[in-house]
Amino acid sequence: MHDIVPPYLLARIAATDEAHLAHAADAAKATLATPRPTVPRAARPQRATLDLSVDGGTLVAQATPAPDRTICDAKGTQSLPGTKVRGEDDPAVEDRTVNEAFDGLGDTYRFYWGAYQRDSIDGAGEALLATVHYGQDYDNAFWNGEQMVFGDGDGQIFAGFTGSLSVIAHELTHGVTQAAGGLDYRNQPGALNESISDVFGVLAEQYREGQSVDQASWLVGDGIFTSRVKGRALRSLKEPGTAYDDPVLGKDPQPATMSGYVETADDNGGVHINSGIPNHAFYLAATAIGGSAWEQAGLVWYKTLTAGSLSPSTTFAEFAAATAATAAAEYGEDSKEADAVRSAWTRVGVIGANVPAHG
Amino acid sequence: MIRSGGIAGMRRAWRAEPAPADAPHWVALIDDCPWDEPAPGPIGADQFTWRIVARCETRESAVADERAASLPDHGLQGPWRALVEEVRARGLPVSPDEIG
Repeated sequence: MHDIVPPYLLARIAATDEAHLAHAADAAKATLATPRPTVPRAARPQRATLDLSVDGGTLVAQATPAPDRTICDAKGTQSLPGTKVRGEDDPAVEDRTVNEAFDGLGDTYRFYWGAYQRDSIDGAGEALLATVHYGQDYDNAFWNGEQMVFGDGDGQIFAGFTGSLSVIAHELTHGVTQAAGGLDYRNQPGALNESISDVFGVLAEQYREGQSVDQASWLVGDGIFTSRVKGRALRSLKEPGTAYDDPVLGKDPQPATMSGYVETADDNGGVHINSGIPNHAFYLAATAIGGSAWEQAGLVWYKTLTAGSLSPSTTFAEFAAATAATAAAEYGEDSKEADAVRSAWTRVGVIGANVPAHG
Repeated sequence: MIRSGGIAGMRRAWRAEPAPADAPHWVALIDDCPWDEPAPGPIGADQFTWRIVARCETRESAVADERAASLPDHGLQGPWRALVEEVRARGLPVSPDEIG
């Protein structure tokens, strides 16, 4: 059990002698007088944002869970976590990368809470830890199983990774997937793992910007390339395979449908390539439903991920069936939502006739 | 060697073809690596993966001695890291398709 309103605030409310707040004061006294649970509290304190307002003669205290962020600086080394440079209650620092990471984690946290009432990575207020300035000219951002890690990029291809909310939310979502039971990071389950991070990465951005399915860019990593690169972003859920086409980087290799499924030993079986297929299925489902993508299509994907029924070796076809079942349970077998989900997976060739079996 | 994966999922490749005079240095770097040990599995997500191929040809033998290994970025420790850093420092970036 966790206390939402901290005792010191209850004490202040209880002590007030403002006549119009007498009711709130009595309520606070009653709360303080309630016997404390004998069960030991969790070692990790929960954070909350408290919104106090006066409604008529009553003091209204509304608490919503709040993130608990720590940003560390690896100072160009590959040692984790590095030196703590900003905590949850600290003001902004001079280092823009630190502040971008801090703000991006906050935006992602607010997305998960606002859209799905999920309190952080584990749903129970897990602290968010990110390290910036990892390595030298390091062209990557990753989740190491415990925390987020951001390189600075080489300045020629990648300008850095903290400027894109979809990238930060992508990494944090790897933690959510892990907490939900995990998907093996290889072949189809690995590509699903990647796709889920891309989906909630773009949804976090759409949620922050208040974008409808028609207004959204559907791009992952918009803004992380330098101006030298011929490309818009890392990936496109709307048009997989079109995010970049550059003399140095080559062309975006993502397929949009099963007919383009790539068999490769690299990249753990092409997890960042074949994720284009479930990515596009999500885009098709969301745009067929319309409105805000996080509300219906996003909810279906979220509930499917967190239901506890996905095996770590889930294939595309199994995930498709699971999302279709979630949509039918949530909105009805004959609903627009269920139809949109089934139709999306059919259009990308995952369900329907002659589906190739890939492991 | 080919680096793949990472959040971008892009393949990058580097190749070093040292002059005969440098051969002992490179042979020592290659011999130090534990080619036959099983590589650790992936941890978390979006980490780079590496595929490293070393080919030694001698005047005495026309058959090349080739060794290969695949390992995740967190497996690049000790002699592996020394070898990778030397290839990146003294070799050249090439198209991944040249290595295959």
